[in-house]
Parts: sequence; C-alpha cells; structure tokens
Amino acid sequence: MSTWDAIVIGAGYIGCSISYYLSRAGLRVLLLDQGGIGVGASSANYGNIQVQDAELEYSLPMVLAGKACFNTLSEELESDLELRTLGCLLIAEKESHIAALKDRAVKLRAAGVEAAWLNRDELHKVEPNLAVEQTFGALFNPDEMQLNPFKLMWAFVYQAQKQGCVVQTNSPVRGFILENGRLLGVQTDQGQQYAAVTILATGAWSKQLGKQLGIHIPVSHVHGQAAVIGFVGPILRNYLSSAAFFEEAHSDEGHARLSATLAIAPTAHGNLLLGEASEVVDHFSQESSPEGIRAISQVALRYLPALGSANILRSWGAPAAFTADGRPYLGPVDDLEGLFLAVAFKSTVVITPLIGRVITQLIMEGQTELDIRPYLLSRTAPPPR
Amino acid sequence: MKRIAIVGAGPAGLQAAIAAAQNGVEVTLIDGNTQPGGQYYRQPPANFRPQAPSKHQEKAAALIARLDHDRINYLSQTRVLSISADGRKMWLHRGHDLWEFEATAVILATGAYDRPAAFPGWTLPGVMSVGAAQTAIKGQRVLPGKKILLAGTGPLLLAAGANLVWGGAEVAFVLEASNFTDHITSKNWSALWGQWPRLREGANYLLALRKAGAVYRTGWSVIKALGTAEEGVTGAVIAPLDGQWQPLIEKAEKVECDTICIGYGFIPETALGRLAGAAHGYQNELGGWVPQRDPFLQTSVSGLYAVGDGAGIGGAVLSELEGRLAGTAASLAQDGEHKPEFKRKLKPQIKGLEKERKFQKLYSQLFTPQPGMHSWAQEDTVICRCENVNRAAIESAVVLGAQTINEVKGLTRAGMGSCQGRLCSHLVAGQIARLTGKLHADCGLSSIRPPINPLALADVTGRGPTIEEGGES
Amino acid sequence: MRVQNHHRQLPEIERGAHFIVTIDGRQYEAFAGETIAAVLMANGRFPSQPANDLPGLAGFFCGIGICYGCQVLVNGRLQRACTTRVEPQMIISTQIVKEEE
Repeated sequence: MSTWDAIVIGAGYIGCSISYYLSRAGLRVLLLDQGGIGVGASSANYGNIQVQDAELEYSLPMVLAGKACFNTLSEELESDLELRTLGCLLIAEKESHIAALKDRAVKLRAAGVEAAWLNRDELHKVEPNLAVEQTFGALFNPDEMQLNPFKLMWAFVYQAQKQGCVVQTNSPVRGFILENGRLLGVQTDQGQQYAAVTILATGAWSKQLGKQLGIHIPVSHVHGQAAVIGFVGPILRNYLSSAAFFEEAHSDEGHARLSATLAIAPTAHGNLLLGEASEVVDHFSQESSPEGIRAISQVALRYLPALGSANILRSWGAPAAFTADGRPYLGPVDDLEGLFLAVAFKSTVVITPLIGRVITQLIMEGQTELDIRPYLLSRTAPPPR
Repeated sequence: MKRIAIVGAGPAGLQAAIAAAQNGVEVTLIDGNTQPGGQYYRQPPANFRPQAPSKHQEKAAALIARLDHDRINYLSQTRVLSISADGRKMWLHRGHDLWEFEATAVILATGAYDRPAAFPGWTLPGVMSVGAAQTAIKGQRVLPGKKILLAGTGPLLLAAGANLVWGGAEVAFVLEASNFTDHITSKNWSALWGQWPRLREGANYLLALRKAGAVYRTGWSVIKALGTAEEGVTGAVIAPLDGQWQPLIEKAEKVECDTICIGYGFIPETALGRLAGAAHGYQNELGGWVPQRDPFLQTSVSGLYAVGDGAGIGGAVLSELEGRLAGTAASLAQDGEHKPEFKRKLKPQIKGLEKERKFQKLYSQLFTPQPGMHSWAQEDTVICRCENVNRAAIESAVVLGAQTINEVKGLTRAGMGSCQGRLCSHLVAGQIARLTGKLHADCGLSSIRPPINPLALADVTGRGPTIEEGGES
Repeated sequence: MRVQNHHRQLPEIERGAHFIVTIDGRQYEAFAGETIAAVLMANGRFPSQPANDLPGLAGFFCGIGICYGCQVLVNGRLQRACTTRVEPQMIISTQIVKEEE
C-alpha cells in the first residue's frame, strides 16, 4: 500500500502533462498506464497543433490559451520538441462545407486567428500539387504548428520525475477503492495505491473505467487508421485536413461503417502521414486493416495524384475517443469526491500543456482560469432507467 | 480443401513444399525472388547458361526440379506483405497487383540476412554486406569492387572471399572477429565429428585465399571506413579485438581498399511471425529474437509454422530437415492439432534434427557477436540507415528515459523507415545495453506494421480486394 | 567489373542477349538476367547512393532485397536495384526525388 497526493491514470499526452504540472506544484504524483508512455491514441497522433478546427461554441478561448503555452514550452522542459510552423488547410470536400467554413472563418478572425477562405485558384497557389478540382475551396491558417508527440510526452515525464513523480508502466488499474461516495485510490498489481485525488486521462478507455467507478462516462471511440509514406520530396507544404472532421459530428450511426476522411500531414523528416480511416467500434485494437489502408490510399490519391509511386512504409490503428457534443470531460465529478476527468479532447495537442495547468489549479486552488462549466460531466443527461 | 502456404523458397521452404505435396496436400510456395533457392542455392540466372555446373549447383537444380509437381503452385517474384492474427490470411504483392490469400496452414521459411556493425564510415558507398558480395559474384558474376576487404564473423566470410578470388578480384583482407580456435574445447569438439564435408570446404576456401595473397586474421575487424560520399571507400582502419570485441586501438592499422564487405553473423527474418503475434524469445546463439516453437515447429499461433534460418540460425542442412518436418506435420495436422499417432510417426524426423542442432550449438558458440562491437560507433555514426539517426540521438533518447527498442523508435524514428528496423534493431539494443547495462533481451521485440516491406500507394488501390482460397496466380 | 576468367570452383557462364539501358541519362550495355545493381557494379558505379541528403535513401547495403536502401526510379516507379532485372530500353534514375519546381 502506498499513499500519494495524486494518481494520474493514462500516460498519453494529457496524463503526461498533468503529471508534470502537478509534480512541479509540489505534489507527490503516481502516473500509471496499462502499457508504456504514450502507447495509446497519442502514439498514433500526427503532432499537429491546430486552432482552426476548434469547437467554436465554447472552446475557442481554451484553444487559444492552449496554443500560447507552446511559446516557452521547449525552454521550460529543456527539450527540443521539434516544434515548427506548419500551415493548415481545412478542405471543403463537399459543397455543403463551404458555408460552414466561411462562417468559421468569420468567428476565427473575430477571435484574432488568421483564417482566410481560399477559392480553387487561390488554393492552387498555396498548394500546387493538390488536385483542387476535387475540392470546393479551403480555409487556410499559415500559423499552425507541429511537434514530435513522443518528444513532448517523454519531456513531460522526464521533468515530472525530476520533481519526484513516480511512473509505473505496464500497470493496469484492476479496481477502484471507494467509500461513502469518495474515491480513495486504485488497485494495481503493485498493491493498493491511495491518493487524495485521482485523475482519469484515459481517452477511449474512460467508459469502462467509469463502469468500475459506478459512474456513467459517455465516451465512445472510433478505430482510426493511418499510414506513413516515404520518398515524396516536398510535394506538400501544409497540413491537409477536412471540414468533415468538425462539420460532421461523430455518431454511432454515422460512422458505423469504415470511411476515410482527408488528413494528410507532411513531417519534418520528409515523410507524409496519410489518414484517416475510421469506424465506430468497441474493440481497442491498434492494428490496421486492408480495407482501412485502401480507404486511406484512395483519399490520398484523389487529392495528391502524384503520390502513386510513393511507398507506404507502415500503417497503424488507434482508438480515438469522441463525445456526442464534441467537447471533452474536464473537471470534478458531482457524485464522486476525489475524482477528476480529463478525457476525450478533440484537438488534443494544442491544449495539452493548458490542461495540465488547469487540472493543477483545480486541485490546488479549487478553481481555474478556464471556464470549465461546458466540460463538466454533469452536463450530460444520466442514462434512462 | 486443405492448402498449405509456404513463404520462402530457400532450402527450408523447398523441402517443406516437397514434403507437403508428397503427403497429398495442395501447396502454394511463395517467393520474392526471380528464381527459387534462397541464398544458399543461389544460381546465376538461366539467361547466363552455366557451362559446367558444380556439384552444389547440381544439387540445387535437382531440388528445384522437384517443384514441378501437380500439387505445388509456385509463385515467384511475389512478396508477402502482411499476415492476420490467426496466421491464415496474407497480403500478396507482385508487379502492380496486391491481393489477399487464405491458407489452411502457413509455414514461414523466410531465411536470414547479414548482421551489420555500425562504425564510422559504414554508410559510405562501397561498404556492403558479405551477402551482397556473395550475391554479386555467385548470382551475377560481377565483382563488387577492385580491392576488397571482408570483415565479420562466421564461415560465410571465407566462402565469399574465396568466390571473389576465383572470380578474379583482389581480396586484400579477410578479418574474422572471433578468435574461434580459442572456443573449441573438449566439450564441443565432438560436435565437429562427422562434419568433414564442412571442414573440408572451409579448408578449401582458406587455401584459395592464402594462394591469392589475401591476409586472413582472426580476432580482428574493421572499425572505421575511410573515404567520401563522392569517391566512396578509399581505405579502412582495422584493429585486433579482445574477447568482448573491444578494439585494441594502439595496434590499429590503416589499410587500402575500395570495398568493405561486413557480416557479423545472421539475423533471422521474423517480420511475419511477429506481425501474427507469435510468441518470440531472445536467444543470442540463434541470432536474437526467434519464434517459440513446439516439437513440430509450430509457433504459438495455431497453424503457423516457422522453419530454417528464419526461425533460428542453423545452416542449410538443419533448414532442410526442419522444412521436411514442418511440411509433413502441417499436412497431417487437423485444425492445427497434431494428433498423438503422428507424433509417433514424426518422432524419427525430430530425432534426426538433433545431430544438426549439436553442430548449430557449436557454430554459434564459435561465432557469437560480442557486446564490444557496439563501442565501434562514435557520436555521429549512423545507427539507423533508413532514417539517418546517429548514436548521439539514441543516447539523448535513453537519457530522456527510453529503455526499449520501441521507446527509442518513437523518440528518434530509428526503425521507422523502409526496413522497419531489420538492420538497426540490434544496433539500437546494443546502444541501450551499452548505456544502461540492460540485457539485449530486456530491450524488447521491435514492433512491426503492415506492409512489412514498402508498397507503392498506387498498387493498393489498383485491384479490388478478393480473398482467394487456393490463390492461383 | 564483369567476371571474365573462370575457375572450376566458380563455373563458367555464357551471357546471352544484351541490350541498352539508360541510367541517369547515360547508356549502358546490359545482359538479360542481370540486376540493375549488377549493371552498375559492372561499370564501376555504386549500386545506388544516398541522394539529396534526404533520410531513407541510405544506399545499397544488403544486396538481397531486405533493406530497401538501393531503391532507384525505374520508368517512374521505385524499385530495388539489387532484385530488379534489367530489360531492354529500361530508363533508370538513381536520383529518386525531384526538387520542388
């Protein structure tokens, strides 16, 4: 049996960030993961830091505050995060996307974010190898960024450990220790671990952990697939994303069958990350399928026909969490003292450092600079009896 | 209808195909090369019209001729790029076509490849594997260079050197890293008994090299290649090694050469077995990570067998014996089960492997790579060729906390390139071990993702998915 | 260099049909059954080499089709030089990535 100030479950982007900020604030932190550092959805992430695709109703201030954290992060973590500027194009794949994107542009600009609507001709100038006739235009922000996901997670963990954080990998949570509406700790193979607060940073696994806690955490997930191709040369200048990602909310019906949406990013090392095939599933496999790779390839060739001779080097899959309203669950839980949630973020990287700070503020001071009311679990209706 | 798929048409795969066909089962033999035979039975192409085949070539031809059998469907120039978790469904690729293939049982006979060492200059043009030189001279009758230095460990060094000499090349040095005569003790000497053909062969090669003026040294290796990217190799620094393969720098010599062929033993090609999720264990004497197998050479995935050097380095004779055993066992098995009565039937075959396994053990003791080889790389020496990751980058990752091959992979991209870590995984593990004292075995098994070899994007969408049972090409 | 003399241990062969292939804009004589790597070696050239300082173009190493370091462009498609057999009129480029225009 061991006692901690805080237990963080899940060593992905969010969990690593929270562990760092809590440790830096002087708390004794235990970081647990059923696998290793960043081996879940975070390992499959492109590392793009985006503001353009933020959920617009509530989340823009949060996303902007999140992006600002990166200005000094490399220095603070004493680590080269391989941070670089990478413009982003939100492609209108359907005519119905145009109005939504133009509306988005207005709201983004009002918030001080550069977001220009490009017609096909303008798009061609920005991205010469893109088959613009396959698109209806795009929203363009040249100031988005990209980093190395693993550098970020490992730097957080390294600095957290310097502040006394203990990391236990390959340590799944076997159960929770509950008493009179309080969460006292968790059961692991290393014995019982007690803490004043426990934070779930568990993405797609949150729902089943919720069941063990006796609470309903309505997180669903898609099985997403992507691939990397090599030897393409400077064929793509910006990250190509699709309006479909936010204009068409995930739903259990909408993505029951595998479909591919445009998500192609150049890496700093001359490769292209191709994505994204997804389908709503209940398994947590990290494998790719022939259907998935075909779907991804078809999308890629549709928009970048010159890619035909490029080599696919490898493919992978990951469970990516989503919620019905597109907002994460962040903050305390009404019926269970001692539990905090930080799960199901849509554009995760951009708010990763911020969430670490927000959770730390909530725990240390009981309040936070960010208005988290839109993200509380209590916003969702309880399941019908 | 029962159909066995065999991946690889080297000695093990050929014998497996013949054995399965003899047992009345339909066989699909899939091989990536233009001609069957793998490395051991590599022949010049038919277009070259061999004038007077050697005994070895006649043996190869006789074996390959047995592929002409009603029940054997031989697919050449066909790569297997993925396999399902149940070990039955594979992606096949040939030319521009990609298709799915399903079999009742699969025998992996994927062979092995030279183990490189990383030292300054090893990525210069003119540095290649011993296998590359052997392929050039035996398979293509072309010399890989003018003044050749061979370095590494194992009998292939002698064979390749001799072949190069017979082809008219100037072989300047053959450097065997292991002081292997030191390892022959009374205990393992008995394993050499009866291995006269092998010993004769080795003596023959050595004689040819001496006659041609090549310098042969044991307990020596190359530790630096000299030259430029434009000119290629112009020379090498060679040095004697201690028992752990640490170089004795004070005795180093600078020599001239334009080609350096390196091969420090072999690494089994295990990508498909790993992708299917078969359990693997680390056995240094067998070449590193190898699949765990039952007495019938079935892996932990029911219906998936692994034989030959691809399941553990043991040489051609053992490979052929294993191929025969698995080919027979897979034919007789019902739903992946080996019934008791044919356990009895196969017992003699299993016993027959024992003599070869004794030799395998001796061989591996004589020519085992030692940890000092990982000290040859300097800070700016490339460790992962595909992604251009040097030793310093790997050290930074280890400092940050990465302790396994896969953790270093995520941080540095070492192992994320075209070869998915085939060349560099053991080099990365060697660096982790050097920095942390961890055992190679604890540095983990390298992850592998489909396609296991690079695949052109256009080929993925070219043809619709058709799952063929039986798979006529 | 192509082997000219033979030894009883390295049996003689008789090369057959020959034709022209183009490598990096230059013409080379090649024989049926030869690989691209062999044609390059026969002419004293490295069988592919790192180009454009881009990662992934590590150059020829294993010679048996495992490492994919020797990839060259053949009629616009990436192929391994060590396993791909030459054909008449083949157009090969060892510089596999175009600079951005």
